[in-house]
Amino acid sequence: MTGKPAGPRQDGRASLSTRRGFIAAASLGAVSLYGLWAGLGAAPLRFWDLGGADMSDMEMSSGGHGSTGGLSPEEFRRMAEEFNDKHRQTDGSVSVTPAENGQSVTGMEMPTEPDNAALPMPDMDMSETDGHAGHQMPSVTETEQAASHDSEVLPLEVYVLAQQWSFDPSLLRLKAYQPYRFRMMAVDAAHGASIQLGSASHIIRLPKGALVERELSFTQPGEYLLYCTIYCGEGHQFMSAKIIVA
Amino acid sequence: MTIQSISRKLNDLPSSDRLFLKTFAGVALASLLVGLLFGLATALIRTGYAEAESSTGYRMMTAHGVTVFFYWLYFAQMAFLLALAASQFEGKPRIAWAPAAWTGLLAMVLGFFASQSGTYLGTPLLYDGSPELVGENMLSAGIFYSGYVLLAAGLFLLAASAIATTLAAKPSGVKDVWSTIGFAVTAWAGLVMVSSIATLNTFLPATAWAFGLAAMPANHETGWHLLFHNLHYLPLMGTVIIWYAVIQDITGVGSIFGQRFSKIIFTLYLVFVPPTSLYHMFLEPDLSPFLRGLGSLLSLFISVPTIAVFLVIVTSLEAHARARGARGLFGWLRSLPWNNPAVSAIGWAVVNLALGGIFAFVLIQERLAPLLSDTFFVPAYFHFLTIGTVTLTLLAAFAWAMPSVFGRKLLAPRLLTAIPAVLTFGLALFGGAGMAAGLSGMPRRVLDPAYDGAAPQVWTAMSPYIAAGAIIMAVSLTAYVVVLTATAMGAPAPKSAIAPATPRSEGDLMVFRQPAWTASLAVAILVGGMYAATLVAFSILRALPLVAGAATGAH
Repeated sequence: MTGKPAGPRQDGRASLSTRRGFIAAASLGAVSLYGLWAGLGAAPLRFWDLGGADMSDMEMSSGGHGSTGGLSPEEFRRMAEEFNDKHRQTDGSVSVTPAENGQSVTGMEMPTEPDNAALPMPDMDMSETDGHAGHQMPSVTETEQAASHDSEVLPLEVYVLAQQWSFDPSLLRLKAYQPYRFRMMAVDAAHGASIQLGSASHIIRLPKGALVERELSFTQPGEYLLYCTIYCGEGHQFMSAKIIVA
Repeated sequence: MTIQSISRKLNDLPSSDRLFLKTFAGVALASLLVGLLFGLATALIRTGYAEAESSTGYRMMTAHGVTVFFYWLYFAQMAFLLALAASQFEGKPRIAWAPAAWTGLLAMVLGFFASQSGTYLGTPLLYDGSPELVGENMLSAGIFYSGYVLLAAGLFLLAASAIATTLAAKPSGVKDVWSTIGFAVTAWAGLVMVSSIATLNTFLPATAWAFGLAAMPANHETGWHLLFHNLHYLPLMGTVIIWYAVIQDITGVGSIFGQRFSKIIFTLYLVFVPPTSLYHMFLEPDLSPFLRGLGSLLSLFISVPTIAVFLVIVTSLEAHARARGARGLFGWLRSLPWNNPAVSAIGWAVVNLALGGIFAFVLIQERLAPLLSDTFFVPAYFHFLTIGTVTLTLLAAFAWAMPSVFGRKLLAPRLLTAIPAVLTFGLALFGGAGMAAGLSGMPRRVLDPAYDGAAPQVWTAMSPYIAAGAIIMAVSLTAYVVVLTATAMGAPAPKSAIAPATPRSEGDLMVFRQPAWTASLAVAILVGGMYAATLVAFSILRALPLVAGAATGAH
């Protein structure tokens, strides 16, 4: 390095900036992001609360990718075909709405357009509305409980079968603000079943042969692209379907 | 004090060891050119500026990922792992266990050809090589998987040679201190060995299955996540070790915080890298909420050693410059030798690391994974790291070391000094447009993102910018490689012209008294950027017209 020698500082002790303790503390700068996550309700305020609360979830998931909960791909295919044939329309689409469905919808009270503020944050895990998570993330839990209790609409089942290189059904008709329980399985290789929602997408992975269930409610009518986001072979780019929400 | 610099040590290597490093350099730069070619082809096909059948396009994508990520980055890393290890001898430098090192290099080269052959002959599997996609092409898949096995074997042997070299170079006296770089290289090599075992653990079963010797591996994907996590942090560890060594060698300024402090920081990579792999699996439906939360928390710590090395290097440079009279908040920066190609490239690598880091830290939040994972946001941000940071650093290291190893004078230094800025511009185009498309959900691994007009317009509207960025990146990196190649083939130069002895200073009382806040300020800006990017991502997430509930799987 070069530079004119011009009277270096000779007063005082070592600068704070050249002390090891300061460097060590500054190195932890990005870790402070946890505070923002907690403030947004995306992580427990006390990070040590991560442990213990969800042990039941750990046990539930111990089956790993290989576990199918008793549903083989062949059985899922049969169930999906039966379900979709039952709800198939003359144009080939599958329509699952409360009026046409025949599924049990207890206490049904179809909401009108709900106030968005009362809806849970997209992608928040509703399974965490039990007592465990309630203590960890009050802000999230409150909104989730508000939505689930106010609407009192039980989810309708929807079956989506993913295979190289298509979805069944290829056109799905749903109702806005109606909760749906999507039951999905990739039967031949891992696939994605992601939904493009305008400004962004909701990405879903489907490991091969695993039943994946997801509760989803669309809050805006429109046409949405359902597409594969896991590379699944040469026809990957052709693997898409459409969801029409009325 | 004035001591022999690392570059002088490299020049003093026995001719057989220099031949080894020359061969490594040639192989590494050739693999980069091959990877760039496939990368450019992939970018042009997916943006619609070139046409190819989907099988060809996905082969290009596979070859690009495998060649750049697993061969270019690892050929180059292993070259500098061995070079830095050999430079740590007090006396005559050498590479220990040279036959093992040569065998390792040979294994990696054979692995390279096996990976390429398997890609061209069979089903394009992309670089994770899922057995589910192999279909009837078992033989070609076996060849493809064999590439990873050979790569892993080569990495293990080369790392073993590097550790043997640093141990041989380590002073044996009780009061002697192991050099920081010798220690760091040993830690680096240790993580390479662990990662090579993880690679073997994943791809040996796949190879045996493909050749009909075993059943299909049940946990290939999990094994892949573990090996990939280690293998994509190793280049970052290598990058900061190279910064530490090269900057010290060029400027003569070592850490003012002491060797022990630096050694602790480098050790942190071994502590933080292995347990932070969970974030790759946030979208796996059977990963419990507890593990997802824990994965997010642990991932925050991965930044600690990298930021610490940055703070040590830059604060040391600033304090020295101020002790020598530099004034103004940023005036000391003018005292750095920016006309040195290696310093220029490392400077831009730091900029790109900050940009990539800001967006990487959006992805480690498990609640944001359903917004961004598996979208083009991922390759858009990681090119700032793999190309803008790691590749640029490795090229900086080549520009610094090749004159010493080859005994040639570096050609076109002004051009090499300018190229990193051009590369960063290309990256900004590619990455900016790619992140915009990815943020709206454009998948990362499709050749045609139009979906017959059903996709959002932004997915295709970004294509010209992505393609332009890819072209600029490919051209600028190719130009860099061409100059380095010309340097290697140039006329011999005298030793004094290529590897000057450098006066080294690690700090005195005057240095410690200097206020040196630039690095801390940069970290504050980086963290501020991470906060802003996280807030933006959550605001987008909250605005989606979808309420997602219970995510359950595998039952």
